[in-house]
Amino acid sequence: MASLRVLVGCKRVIDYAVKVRVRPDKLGVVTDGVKHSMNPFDEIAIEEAVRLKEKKIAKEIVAVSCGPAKCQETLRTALAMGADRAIHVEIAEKEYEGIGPLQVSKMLAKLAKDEDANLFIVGKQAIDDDCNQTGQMLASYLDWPQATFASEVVVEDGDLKVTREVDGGLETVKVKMPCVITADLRLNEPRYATLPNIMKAKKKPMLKKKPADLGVDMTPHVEVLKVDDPPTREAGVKVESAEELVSKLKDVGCI
Amino acid sequence: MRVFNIIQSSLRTYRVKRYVFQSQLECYSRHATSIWRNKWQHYRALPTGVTKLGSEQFIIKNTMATTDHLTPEINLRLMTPQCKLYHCKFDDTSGVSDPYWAFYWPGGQVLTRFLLDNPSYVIGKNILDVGSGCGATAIACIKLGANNVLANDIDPVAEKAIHLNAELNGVSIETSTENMIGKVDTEFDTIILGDMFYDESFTKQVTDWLLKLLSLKRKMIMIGDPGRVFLNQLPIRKHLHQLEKYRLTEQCKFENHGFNDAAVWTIK
Repeated sequence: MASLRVLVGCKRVIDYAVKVRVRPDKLGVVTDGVKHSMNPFDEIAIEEAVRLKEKKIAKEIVAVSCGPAKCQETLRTALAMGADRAIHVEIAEKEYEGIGPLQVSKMLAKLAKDEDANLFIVGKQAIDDDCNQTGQMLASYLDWPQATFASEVVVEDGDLKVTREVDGGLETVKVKMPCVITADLRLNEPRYATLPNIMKAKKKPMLKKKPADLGVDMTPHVEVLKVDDPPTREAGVKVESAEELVSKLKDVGCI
Repeated sequence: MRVFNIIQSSLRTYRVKRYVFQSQLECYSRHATSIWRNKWQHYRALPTGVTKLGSEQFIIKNTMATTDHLTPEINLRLMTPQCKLYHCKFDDTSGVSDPYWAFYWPGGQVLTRFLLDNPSYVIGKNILDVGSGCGATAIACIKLGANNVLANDIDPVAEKAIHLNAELNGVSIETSTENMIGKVDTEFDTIILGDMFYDESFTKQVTDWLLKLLSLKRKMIMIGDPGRVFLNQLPIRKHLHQLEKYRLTEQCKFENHGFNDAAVWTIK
């Protein structure tokens, strides 16, 4: 078959292992000098696209990222994982702070049309804002079917059979292409880039665009009022005996 | 709330799992990166005469002889997962060229396999191997009985690696670091290229040259490629005729994400 052009969205986020700190102005978190990497769910999305290419279902994988200049590092990772080329929509740091899934999904939708994509895979959510909206909005702007929270993707008679992780268990749906898929945790286990892949990734093309090229209005629609740390856990009390425990629990009204 | 809890717990498991793995990897790769930088800086700082000696030692120290590829009849010094530098991520700031010679790329592997299986393409021929890399294909041609073989690679470290690999296989080889791409007054009747089409503009440059060569004189041109996209987007596409297709080894797939097989083509 090998006819699909697959676009994959990759967001650069604060690394999952970093302890996030709230900014003194309480309007965001500290990002300067903090380790960033690709959103783990987007890594899963890239991995799925590469597997489709290895099965000769996809002919080309285009990794896409919208954000500041440093997003290019994230895109290089995607290229080293097996994407064929990349598109970076460069957004100034300041402007990037104000935008969200609405603007990003509009940009991705325009790119999907320009690139004549047959399939768009994105992570189900980003681990920084936990929005879980981009894939859904993207499908809506493109007027394409969507299969969210995918844990398995199989090609069947030219359509996609997708197993979705829903609250009550698993739901299997069939979608016609072109369509949008959002990747859940159990879809696959992403590979890491080995040295030869990193070397060849440096030679792969990366196209740069501006939001204006895509005709997307970047006016913020959501204003962040306050960002708070989670409440700190208060210190506990040590008890010497079961009797003491019972009386303490009675004191606080638990029993 | 329940959904939220599930998401939270699944994310947490994921993060913990990844964290353990990643931190081990990073600890190792940080170490390896610093080794890499030091090695290359040392290597770069040497004056020309010593550099040659230095690059040979560098190759010997950072590669190991292996037959874990599609042409086990040829032993090659390559950077394998057992070599420390294999695990480093190197950055663009080092200012030195990447060690393309340290890997046996899929296009080169299938091209060499094809020639070993079909020696009539080689025996008595005058062969130019462009972008020779580790030298595997050129070495195979000598062993098969070519009249004349020139292993050409513009990277002087690759040239050294080719000689070391030839020695390892008991043959001597003629090499050159001259940029042959674009030259049309060549005496060679057979031109072979293994995995040269990984860069968009370079692919255009090389394929334009090959088509020009073809229009001037009758040349046998053979290429090995895993199906990198650029080749399918250029005019040369119409001139490609597949000779054979091979499945890649597990190690080769691991080093070339997205490819399970590679093919040998001739240009007509």
